[in-house]
Amino acid sequence: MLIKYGRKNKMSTLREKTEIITTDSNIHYISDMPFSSAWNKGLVHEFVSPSKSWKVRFNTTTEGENEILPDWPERLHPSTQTDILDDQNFLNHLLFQIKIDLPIPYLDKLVKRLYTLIQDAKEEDPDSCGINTGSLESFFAFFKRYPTLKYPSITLTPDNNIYTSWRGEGGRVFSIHFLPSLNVRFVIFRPNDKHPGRMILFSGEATIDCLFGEALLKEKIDWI
Amino acid sequence: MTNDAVPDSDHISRLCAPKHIEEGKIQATAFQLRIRKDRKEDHLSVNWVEYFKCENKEEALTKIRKILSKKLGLAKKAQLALLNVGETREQVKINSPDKRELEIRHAPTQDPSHAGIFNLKQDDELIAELILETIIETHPAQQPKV
Repeated sequence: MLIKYGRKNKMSTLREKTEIITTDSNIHYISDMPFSSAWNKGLVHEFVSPSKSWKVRFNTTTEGENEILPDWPERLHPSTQTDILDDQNFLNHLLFQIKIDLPIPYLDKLVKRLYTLIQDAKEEDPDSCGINTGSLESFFAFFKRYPTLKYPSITLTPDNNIYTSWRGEGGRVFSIHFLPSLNVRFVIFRPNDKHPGRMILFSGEATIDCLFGEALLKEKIDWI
Repeated sequence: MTNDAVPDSDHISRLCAPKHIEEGKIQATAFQLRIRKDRKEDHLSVNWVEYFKCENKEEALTKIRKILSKKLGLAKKAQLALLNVGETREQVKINSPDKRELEIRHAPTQDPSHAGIFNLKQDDELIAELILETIIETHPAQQPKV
């Protein structure tokens, strides 16, 4: 769906890829995905896209500027928006953001894998949206922060959180369980240099921004 | 007898769903407990392979597949992971930080071969990775066509 955009906003990279239309109520669509924006208080509008219709409620922001979803995939402060995107819609939005904004060389393979996992999860439970959106947010933020990592194996936990695993020589394992709110739990297996044939095993929990720093300290994870 | 420990010399099979498998390889998520409040688990469901006293492993797996397909439906990409009870318990006990002693107990339901891996916790990614390393072999969950 082509959409023509006429307002100043921060989505210049998106504009290069897609034309975006705004309405008088400042709602804009990209490929059927509604985005939160500056809201006019008390208005409820229904918009019909070729495939879907959305009802959205608006509130004013303090500055009255368009609030576009920032590069960092955190939800906007609740006092500035009252979006009613459900999990499925938010999942679609995150997947779209990943497709356009993740600077990794194996992006196609990763996106294809995520869609396969969604399908697998839905076959198991048709009522689920596939992947836990909080976990996908953390996953997106992690790979955006560390885009040079090798492609891992990617699976889902029983509760549909994302779990990635890298395996190296000598029994090396580095696995990450992506939790909501940019938290992760991790597991590391590596050879014990002082006792050949034995392994060092440890696990922990951290935020993604300090995983390779304070959380792992001197642990060298240079094989991923 | 119900709740008796499955002998260390025997084997269990774990049904691994497609979402726990990538490129044919089972990952540790197949051995994690569900945490969600509405579906919280306290054990991992497995099947006691020697329960049926079959002549060989293939015959036993066929019986297990028949039971699981009636109970759950078997996805095309799902796999059965075969583990030795004693080896799995020993590896987890030796290598886990808290020297965890897994209990693998016979817990029949409508499935008479149903057993459970008990003494797991909700944040046991490390234990799941240790269990993963004790998989002996894997088999398609759906009965292969002859």
